[in-house]
Amino acid sequence: MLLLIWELLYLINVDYLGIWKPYCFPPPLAVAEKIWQLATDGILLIAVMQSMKRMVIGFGISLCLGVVIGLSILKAKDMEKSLVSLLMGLQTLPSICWLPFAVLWFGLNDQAIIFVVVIGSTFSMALTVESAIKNVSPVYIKAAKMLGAKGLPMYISFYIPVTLPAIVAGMKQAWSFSWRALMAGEMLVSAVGLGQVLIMGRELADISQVVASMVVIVAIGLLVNRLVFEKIEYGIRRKWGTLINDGE
Amino acid sequence: MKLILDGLSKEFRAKSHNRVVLDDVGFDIRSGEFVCLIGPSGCGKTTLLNIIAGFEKPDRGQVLLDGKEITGVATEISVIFQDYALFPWLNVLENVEYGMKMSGISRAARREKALKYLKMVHLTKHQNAYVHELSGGMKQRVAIARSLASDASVLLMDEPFAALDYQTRRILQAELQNIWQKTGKTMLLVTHNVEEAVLLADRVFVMSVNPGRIKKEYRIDIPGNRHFGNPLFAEMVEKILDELMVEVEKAAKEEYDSDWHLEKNGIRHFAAADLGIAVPDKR
Repeated sequence: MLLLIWELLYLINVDYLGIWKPYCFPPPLAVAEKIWQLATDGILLIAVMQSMKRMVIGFGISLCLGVVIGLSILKAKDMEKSLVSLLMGLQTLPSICWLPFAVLWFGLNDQAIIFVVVIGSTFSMALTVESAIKNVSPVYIKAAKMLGAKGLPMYISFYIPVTLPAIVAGMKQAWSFSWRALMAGEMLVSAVGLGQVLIMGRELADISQVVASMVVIVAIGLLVNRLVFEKIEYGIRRKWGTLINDGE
Repeated sequence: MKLILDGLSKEFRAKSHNRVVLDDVGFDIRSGEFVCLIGPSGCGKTTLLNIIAGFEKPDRGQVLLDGKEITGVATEISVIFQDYALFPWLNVLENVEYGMKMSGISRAARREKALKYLKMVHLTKHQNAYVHELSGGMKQRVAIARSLASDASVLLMDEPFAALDYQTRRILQAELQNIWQKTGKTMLLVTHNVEEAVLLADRVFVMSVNPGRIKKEYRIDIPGNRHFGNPLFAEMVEKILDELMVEVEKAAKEEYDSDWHLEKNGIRHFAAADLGIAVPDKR
């Protein structure tokens, strides 16, 4: 359906009316061809692998950092409010704004991009962890304590599973923040990756390559959501009994 | 183990006025005794349980378990909540095992003991089910098994059957009695249901509202079976209900408009006779 509208828009505006120039707006077929070409060249595979590598490293680091920061905020009871608003403030700052810092600290390389990816989702993860733990129903906490849970085992056996639904929802968001940050970083630093394929398209005035990489970026975003996060969420919902249509 | 409550007081401070929730509440519970605590909603029953369980601190007074002061949450005292508080990410067996896992008991020993208590509440068939797959009555059975398996010697129950339908409640009351006789645990059950209290308890305490105090103690040593066919049972229920109704009315007068009062001569029956038994706890 979307493809049809796209094709129609192309036909009307570019072919008949000539308002848009062909180099401004590619037809879907050209984009599909481009994707195929990039894929058979091997460029796409290398780019995706490189991007994913940075993403996995960066996202992993930000998960750990987010959990640590989130828990530390909860421990620092008196400063909790001001720390939360500080994080909120930092969260509104687009992560790409940190790129100059990153480049100064790490140079024009992978580490700088990974830094931007980490910054992109750490704050959102920390806020998620903080609010997830604060929203745990008091009766569960009472039950866990009366059964003798405390200290580290309490975190592992109680706080992680009880907050998992909220954490996974937060992870989904954090993943998209990071993914955006990664693309921006790759475009500016111009290291091999999907973002760079896009910027190459711009430099070669090849609009279909630009759109092709955009399509691939969206597709990978969707794919990860489908294959990773929705699978985890489904597993949780099945256990917790919050599935609406589970065919029972 | 013997449980001693000594001069427990607790105030809640609000902006406009302080409310005395508990005022010098004290009584002893013998080891293996079954005590019921009854009172209108808002009389501090739940606060009292929270203090005994160590979830809250009293302003004054102390809780002694076998002579030792309880200052925080102790695994010797276990709570059975009205809304079960079973962990939804664990299946039935894992829920029952949770306390033992926390105290570091080996996997095999854990499993064996959990199955033993699941058998006691007749739920071994559902050991692999998740919590949402169970009915309310089944959930409460799991919660009972969980508390028993954690080796607590005192079980505190906060309106454990209030959310269940009448028939299920009757069955569970009978089974709770069985379990109590088999295990010899010390039981303190909070309820608003006079019939339930007289059915189960060795002693019943009626609490007054605002300030929350122990108003009266009843020793339930009626001969014969405890059901309404036994006039002594009915008489005891009636007696406690009368006492309770004074408090219920007092509490209601504070909640409703100033012109509220109970119509004493209803067409069919004395309306108050229903209140203590059937009115669900407003929360």
